[in-house]
Amino acid sequence: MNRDLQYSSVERDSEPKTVAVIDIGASSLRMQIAEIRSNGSIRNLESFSQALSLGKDSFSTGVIAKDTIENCVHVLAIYRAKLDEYEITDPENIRVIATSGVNEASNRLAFRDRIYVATGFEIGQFDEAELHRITYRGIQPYIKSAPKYFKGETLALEVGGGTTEALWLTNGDVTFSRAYRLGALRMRQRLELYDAPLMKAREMMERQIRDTIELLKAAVMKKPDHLIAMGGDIRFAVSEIKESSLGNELEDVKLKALEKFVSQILECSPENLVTRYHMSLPDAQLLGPGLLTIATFARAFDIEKITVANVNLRDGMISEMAKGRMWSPSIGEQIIRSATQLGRKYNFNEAHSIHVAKLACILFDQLQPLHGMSGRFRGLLQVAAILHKVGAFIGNKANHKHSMYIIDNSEFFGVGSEDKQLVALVARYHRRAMPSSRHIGYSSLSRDLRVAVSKMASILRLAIALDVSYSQKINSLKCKIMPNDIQIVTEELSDLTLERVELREAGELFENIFGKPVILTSASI
Amino acid sequence: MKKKKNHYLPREASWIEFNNRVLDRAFLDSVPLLERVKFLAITSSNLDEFMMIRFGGLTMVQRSTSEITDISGLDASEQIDMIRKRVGKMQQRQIECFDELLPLLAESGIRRLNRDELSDIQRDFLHSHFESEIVTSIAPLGIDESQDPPFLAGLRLHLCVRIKDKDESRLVSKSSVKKDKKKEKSDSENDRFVVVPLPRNLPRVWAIPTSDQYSFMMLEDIIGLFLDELLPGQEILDWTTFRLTRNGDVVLVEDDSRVDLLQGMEEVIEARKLSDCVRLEISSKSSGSTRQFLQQLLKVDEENTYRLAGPLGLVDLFAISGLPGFNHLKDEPWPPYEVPEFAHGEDVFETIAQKDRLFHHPYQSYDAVVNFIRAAAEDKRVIAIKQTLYRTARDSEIAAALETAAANGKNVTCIVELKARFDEARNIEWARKLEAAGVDVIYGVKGLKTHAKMCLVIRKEASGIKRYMHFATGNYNETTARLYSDISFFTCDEQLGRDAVHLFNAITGLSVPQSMGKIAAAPIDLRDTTMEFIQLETENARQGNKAEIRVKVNSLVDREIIDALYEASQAGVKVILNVRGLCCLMPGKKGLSENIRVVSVVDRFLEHSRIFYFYHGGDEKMFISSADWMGRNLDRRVELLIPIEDRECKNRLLRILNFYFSDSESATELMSNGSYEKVEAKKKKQVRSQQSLYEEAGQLLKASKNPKTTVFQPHRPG
Repeated sequence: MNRDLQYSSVERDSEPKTVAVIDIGASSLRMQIAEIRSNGSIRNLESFSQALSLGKDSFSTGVIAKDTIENCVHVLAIYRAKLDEYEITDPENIRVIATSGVNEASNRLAFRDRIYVATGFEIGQFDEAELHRITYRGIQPYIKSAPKYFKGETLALEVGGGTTEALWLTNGDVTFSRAYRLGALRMRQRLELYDAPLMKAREMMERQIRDTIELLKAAVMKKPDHLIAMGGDIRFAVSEIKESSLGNELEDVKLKALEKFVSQILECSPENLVTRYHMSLPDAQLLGPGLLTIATFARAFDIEKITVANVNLRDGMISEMAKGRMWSPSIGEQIIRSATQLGRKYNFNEAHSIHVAKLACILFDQLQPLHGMSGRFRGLLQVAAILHKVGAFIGNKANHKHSMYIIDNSEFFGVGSEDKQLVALVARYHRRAMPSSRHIGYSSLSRDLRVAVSKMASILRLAIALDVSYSQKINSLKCKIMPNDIQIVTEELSDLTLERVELREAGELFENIFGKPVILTSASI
Repeated sequence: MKKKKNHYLPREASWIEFNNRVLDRAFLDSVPLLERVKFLAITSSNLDEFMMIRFGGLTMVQRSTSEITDISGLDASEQIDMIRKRVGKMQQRQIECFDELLPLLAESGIRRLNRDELSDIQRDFLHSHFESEIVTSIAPLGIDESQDPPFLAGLRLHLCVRIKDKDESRLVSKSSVKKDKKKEKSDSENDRFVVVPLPRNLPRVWAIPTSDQYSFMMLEDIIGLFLDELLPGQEILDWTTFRLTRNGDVVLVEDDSRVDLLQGMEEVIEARKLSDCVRLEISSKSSGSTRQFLQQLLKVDEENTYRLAGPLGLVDLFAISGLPGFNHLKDEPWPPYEVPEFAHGEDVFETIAQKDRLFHHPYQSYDAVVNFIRAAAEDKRVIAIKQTLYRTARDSEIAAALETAAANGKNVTCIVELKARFDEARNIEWARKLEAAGVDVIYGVKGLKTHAKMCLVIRKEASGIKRYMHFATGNYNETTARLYSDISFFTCDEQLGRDAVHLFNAITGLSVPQSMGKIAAAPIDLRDTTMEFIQLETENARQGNKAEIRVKVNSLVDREIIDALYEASQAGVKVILNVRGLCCLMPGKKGLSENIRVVSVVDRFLEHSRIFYFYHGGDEKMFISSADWMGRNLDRRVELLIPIEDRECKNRLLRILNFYFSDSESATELMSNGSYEKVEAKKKKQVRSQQSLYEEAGQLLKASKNPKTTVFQPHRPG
C-alpha cells in the first residue's frame, strides 16, 4: 500500500528511520544510507560508489550489454547485503533510481526486470521533471543562506555522465529547467569513436558544448549573473585548485583558475590521473570533459567567477524522503509558479484558477479526516486546479479533455510523469463525466490511485462551484463534517444562490465517493 | 656521484645500532640477570630476522643489475660489506655477553653443565632420555654427493659429524667418491659427513637433576655425548654445530588474474623454506674440512660464514630467561592496571558515549580492548563489527569474540592481512576458522598491506545508528599487548565514524575511496597531511612564532619527511624525536639539523606506539598512528593517522609522550655520526620513562577510584 495514501502521513515513529537511495547513473552506481530523525533532520551514515559504465553501452549501442547488467546485479547484491546489515528492508525506505544510462537503453525494461528478479530492487520512475525538482531542493537552502548568489539571474548547472542539467532561476525562482543530452561520458565516447588527437579532442568537445549553450540561450534569452556548478568533478577541481577540502558552503572559483586546471587535466592521460589523484579510472576519464563543460558555459556567458555548491541527487532524494515526496511548501511554490506559467501560455483566467486552487486546498485540508490523503495529493490537486481550464484555449467544447492532453504533453517544473498523469486526469474530471474505468488513462491506474483521482476531482469540482461567479468572493470557509452531510460554512454575506445551485450538481461526484451531500451555508444565518 | 656529502645515516647501520642498543641492556648490571639473558636472546632473534629479510633482500638486489642505493648513497654491495663486518662484530659481542652471563648465572644457581662435569647418575639420566625421547625424533642425513643435497631448514641448529669412510659404510655409498677433488688433502678425501638436524619439537635446553641448584645442558651437547649410539659402527672424527639462514625476502607475486591469495601465501611459506642460504654460522671449533664441506653443500662463500666461539642460536636462551621461579632474577612484575569502566559486564558503549577514552598498554590492561569486542559480540543492539587483524595471538580471544559475534547473527567483517611477515601461517589458520564461523573475511587490498588497526562497531540505538570505534597503534594481539607499549583510543565521534566506515568500504572494495574529514590514510593522504603539519611549523618558525614538533615512532627512514624536518630545524622549529629503531636522520648537525634531537628508549617493554605532536601556532594538534615514518608505511600500506581531540585524552597523550624525552635511564641519544650515547640525567634525578609511565597509569586508576572533591557544595538555609 502506498504510504502517501494513508492519512497519517505526519505521524512518525519517534525512532529514527534508516533509509537508502541507490542511484544507477551513467558511469557509476552509488548508494547513500542515511538516518531520518523524527524532527526531519538527516544524518548521512554511509555512501558507496562503484564505477560501472552503463552509459557506455546505452549511449553507443542503445542496449545495455548482458555483462554490464550482471555487473550491475553484482554491485546491487552487495548493496543489498549492506542494507540488510542496517536492517533496511522495507521497500518504502529504499529508493532506487536510474538516470539516462538506463533510460536511454532500449532494453531498459528487461534491465529493470533482471534487477528486480536478482536483487529485489525495484527501479522507480524517475524522469527529468523529478530530477529538476530534486536539484532545486538541493540548491534551495543556499537561497536562504547566501541570497546574493540568487539576485537576478542564476544558472545552476550539473554535468553528469549522460546529461547536463540546467536550472534557470530568477531571483531564486525557477523560470526554466531542462536536461540536455550533453554528458561527460557521451563526449568521452565520441572521442574514442573518432580516436581524436588531444587538441582536436578538445575542439570537438567544445563544439558539442557550444551547441548545447546555443539551445539554452535560445530558450532563455537572458544572460545569467551567477553560475552555480554542482557535482563531484567540479568540487574535486576546486578543492585541488584551492588546496583545501570543501565544506557545505558555496565556494567561488575564478574561471581563469578553472580553465588552467582543466587544461592540465586534459593533458593528462586518465591513467595518469588515477595515480596522481587516487581516483577510479572511470572517474578519471570523465573528469576532463565534465570540467570543460562547466568552463565553456562560464566562458560563453562571460561569467568570471563560478560558484560551487554541494548538491547531489542522492542527498536530494533523501531529503524528499524526509520531508515528503514533493510538497514541501517552498518546492510547491516553484511547482505552482511553473504551472501558472503554463496556464498563462494558454491564456487561462489566472485570478479564477488561482482562487479555485486556493479553495481546493482549503477544502482538502478541512476534509482531511474524510479523504485521508497525504500532502503529495494536495499538491497535485493544487496544480490540477490551476490548470483545469487550460483546455479552453483550444475550444470550449470538451475543454476538460483538451486540458488533459495539454497537461499530459507539457513540461513543467518538478512534476514527474506519474504525477503529471494524475494531474491531467483530475483536470479532465473537473466537469462532465464521472471517472470511469472505460476511460483511457484512468483505467490503467492502480486502484489506490484511481480512488485518489476521484477524490481529488470531487474536491476540485466543489472548489470550482464555489467560484462559479468568477468573482473570488468566497475567501474563507469552514467545513463541518456532520453525520449526514458536509456543511460548508462561509462568512460571505451576499447572495449564494448561484453557488448553491452549482454545488448541488458539482457535489454529485463527492457524494458518490464519500456518501454525503455537500451543503453551503452562510455564517450569518 | 654517490660519494658527495651525505646528510643521511645509512639505514642498515642504523638497524645494527638499534640491535646493539638492545644488546647493551644485556650487559647492564642494573638489569636483572634473567632479563639480561632475555635481551641477549632478543638480539639473536632480531638478527636472524634482519639477516633473513634485509640482508637477504640486499643479496637479491646485488644479483640483479639494479643500481638502487640506500638513503645515504650506499649501493647494495657496499651495504652488504658493511653489514657483514658489523654483524660479525655483533655476533662476537653476543658471545662475549654469553660468556659474561654464564658465571653470573652459575652464582645465582643456574648452571650450564659440560660433558666432563657429569656424574654417572646424571649420565645415566641423560642416556635414558636420549634413548626414550631424543633418538626417536632425530634423523641423521647421510650426504651423498651424487644425489641432490638434502633439504636443511633455515634457522635451525644442525650437527655436522665427520666420519671416516669405511667400505662397509651403510650411510654413504662408495660410488660417490669424486675423482676431481685431487687438491684436497689425502686424509680428508675419504671423510664422509652426516648432518643431524635438531628437531624443533625437542627443547634446546635440558634440565639435569642435581642436588643443590638448577643445572642444564644444551641439546647438542647431549647428542654429542651419544653420537656413537646414533651412528653405530662409524668412526667419528669430530663433530660441530652449524646453522644456516635462508633468504626470507620472497615476496608474493600478485597478478591480476583471480589468484587465491590464501593458496599464494602458502606457496610463499614453502618458497621461504627453500630459498638461498645467506648466512652460515658455525662453531669456531669446527675443522677446516667440515667447514669447506658445508660451504660447498650450502653454496655459501667464506664471506657469509661466521665462526663463533660459543653456542649458536642464542635465541633459544628464551628458555633460560623464562625459567619458572627465580623471580629475584627477573624484573619486578608490573601487572597491568585494570580499566574498571571497561570491565566485563560494564556498559562499555555508555562509557564511550560519555567521552573519548585513551589507554596506554601494557601499563593499562588490554582487557579493555578484548572486552570491548566481546561486548560488541554479545550486545543485542550491535548490528555489525568491522575489524582489521594484522598479527593475531595464538588462541586469540579477539578472534574468538568475532566468531561469537557471527554466531549471534551480527555482520562481522574482518580484514585479515595474510602478508604480515612470518605470521602468514597463523593468519591463514585464523582466516579459515573465522570464515567457517560465518565471518566475512577479506584478505586485504591488492598491492597494499593493511596495517591500520581499527575496530568499528555499529549499533542501532533508540536515537539512531551509533558507531563506536577503537583505533590503536598496536596489533589486535593479546600476547604482544603485554610486551609492547601501545595506545588505544575509543571514541564514538561522528566524523571519525564516518571516516572509519568509508575506509572499511574502500578496503573491502565496496566503494571507491572517498574523501575523509578527520582521518588521514595511507596511501592516499597520510604523507601529504604529515608534510603539511611539518611545513606549517616551519612556516610559523620563519615568521618568528613558536614552533615545535614532538614525535615518537619506531623508525624514521623516509627521505621526504627527513628533508622536511631538516628544513624545519633550519627555520628554527624545535624538533624532538623518539625513534626506537631505525633512524636515517642525522641530528644535531650545524647548519642542517642543530634543532633536532633524537633519543631512543629501549627497556623492558618494546616501544611501539606512534605519537605525534605539533605546536600548530598554539592550537596544539596530537595524533596517534599505525604508521612509522618509512616509505613502506606512507606509500605501500593502508595506515591511519587519527587526531586526538578530546582535551583530557590529548593532555594524557602529551604527558605520555613527554616522559620519553625526560628519560635518563633507558634512553640513548643519537649523535650526528650515527652512534648513540647515554642520556645524562638532568638535575641528577634519574628518570626511567617506563617506570614513570607505569606509575602514571597507577595514579590514574587511583584517582578514578577516589575522585577528589572539586566542587564545594555549601549548605543553604531552608
